[in-house]
Amino acid sequence: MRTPGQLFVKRLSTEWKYTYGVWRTTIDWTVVLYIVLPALVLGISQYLSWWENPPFWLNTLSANLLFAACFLFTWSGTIRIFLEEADQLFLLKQKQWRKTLVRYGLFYSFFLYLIFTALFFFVLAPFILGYYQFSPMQMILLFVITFLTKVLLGLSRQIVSLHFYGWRRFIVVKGLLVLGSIVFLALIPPALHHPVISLLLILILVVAVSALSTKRLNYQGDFSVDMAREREEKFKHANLLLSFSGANIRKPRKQRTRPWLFHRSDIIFRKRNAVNGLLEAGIKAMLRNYRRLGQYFLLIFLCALIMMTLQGSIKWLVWPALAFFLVNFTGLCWQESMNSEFIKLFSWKTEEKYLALRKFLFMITLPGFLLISLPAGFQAFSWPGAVLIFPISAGLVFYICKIVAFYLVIISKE
Amino acid sequence: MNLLEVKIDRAGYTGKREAIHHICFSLKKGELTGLIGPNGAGKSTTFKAIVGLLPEVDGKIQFSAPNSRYIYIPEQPVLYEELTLWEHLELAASVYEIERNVFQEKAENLLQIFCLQGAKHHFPTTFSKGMQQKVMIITGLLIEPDLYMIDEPFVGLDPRATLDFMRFLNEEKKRGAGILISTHQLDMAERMCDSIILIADGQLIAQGNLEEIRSRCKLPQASLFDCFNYILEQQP
Repeated sequence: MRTPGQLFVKRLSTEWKYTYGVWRTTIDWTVVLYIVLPALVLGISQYLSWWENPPFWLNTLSANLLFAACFLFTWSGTIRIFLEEADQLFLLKQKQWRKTLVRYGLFYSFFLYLIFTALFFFVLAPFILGYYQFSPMQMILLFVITFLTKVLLGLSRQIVSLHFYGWRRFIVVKGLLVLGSIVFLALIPPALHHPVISLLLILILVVAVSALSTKRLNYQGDFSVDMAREREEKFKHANLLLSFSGANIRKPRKQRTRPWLFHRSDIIFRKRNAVNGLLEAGIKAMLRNYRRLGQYFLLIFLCALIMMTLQGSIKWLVWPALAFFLVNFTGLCWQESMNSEFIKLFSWKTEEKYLALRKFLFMITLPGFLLISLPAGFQAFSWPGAVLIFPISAGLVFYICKIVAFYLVIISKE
Repeated sequence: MNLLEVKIDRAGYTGKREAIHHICFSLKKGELTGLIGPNGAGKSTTFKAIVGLLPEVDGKIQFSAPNSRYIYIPEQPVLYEELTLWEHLELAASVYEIERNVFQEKAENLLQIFCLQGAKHHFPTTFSKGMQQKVMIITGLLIEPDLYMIDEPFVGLDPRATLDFMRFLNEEKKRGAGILISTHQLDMAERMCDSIILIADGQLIAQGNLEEIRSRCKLPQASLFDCFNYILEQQP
């Protein structure tokens, strides 16, 4: 590799080959023949029919939603710089090489953004031109503004992530999202009716993008942050496919030095034995894992929504099924925690594992299930329903936990 | 009395079913045995075969009693992402139902000795490799098992921690614990081990105490390092 350009081409081609290989593992000719091609044909015919008759459900959607979709699209994607970990050793002192690589990375990212934005507008064109009655000029202006906003937000997010750390980064990135959406939704719809203002906006965006590109080119922040992002991007397709395969892959995650909850390693159970020790580890693992907690609350929210929407006796047929579903979800969280190699260092008796899991399922599932049941009980039978639902929910969850724990510990291990 | 009897005909992984073969040895109470061999010889695989972490094992692994306590400390520390250092020790103490006051006193003392007192309530997954290794060692020392199986215990430990650890191993030997360690540090093995097992290419090629190994090599007064190299050179 005699020039940074050659190095960039080599890295890019290696990555494309890798990504192609990853998809090839899933999509062979049978998948192409029986799934991809029919889906493509169906998609194209649907798309063509939208040019003739816009779908009826568009009647309920206002044009503001189109602008919201455009903004959400601008927030997606990642700007690449194509540096690698080993560059710490070989390239960091070679400023010119590093800068050239980053420059090519930026151009490549902008080019990809342009292609994706064009595709996005190509898909939305029947709605934009046909249903929302935009003129071709307005659509072109919206396309250019969306593309430039996407580049600007991508660069801003990246520079912010290099500049801030921890909760400050979280606040600034979310602030950028909120501020960006407000400005985009407030300025763009009226500006599209005035080409001069639109062109002025485009000019401002071009100047901002140039300034931020130069800043990114010369910015040498935390190299590990750059590497983490590059790694994530490089393996995102493999990660996606693996997540569908159900493989349990523990990814290293950023972690605090000390926990927020039980920050002095406080004990939960006074009585110390194997069951309580395992149960305590499971509870702490659940409460300290924000990903799992997020999924738990999302499930509860969705289940509560289902219960509130359903009417009549069907509601009370679905209710135990939701309890069963929630207990099983909690069981999966437990299994994920218990897959830890540290737990495997000790020899556990089956009855200890069964008892610990049964208590864990009950303690973690019940609060969430009450949140689902209480509004439903109140909605159906007013206050008496809300009060009565407490013991009935507890009893139902208790018995489901017994069955699920028995299955997970005893039956599935046989 | 033998704490452990190992007769492995063959053991390995899916796709490499015979990573190790014909490995037979036993470990007595109060004995410290060193498992030595070049990189990739099969030392870690032997440990995994003994503790039942391999999918393919033909042979017999027998512990002295069905309820005997043993601990396996792998080369790569395995720690719980969501538990603090102290909580790891709490979990170990709960499993072995160690009395609360005994646990607290012993755990505090071990943390003090291994200089981890300040990181007691931190997540050990944020520690350096050496500190993580200390956590694993403390967990082992805390539960006082009948048998220790420790894969490369000195990797990552600073000299002070290495000395403290060696002192603890000697105390554990006196208590009657059996200890099986693998190491590349042959000078350390020569000083500490009562017997040596040399593995190469997945099979046992020599075992005995240092005198027996010297006489096999016909190298009286030679160091373990010299014997090790001599035996490996004689291998086809």
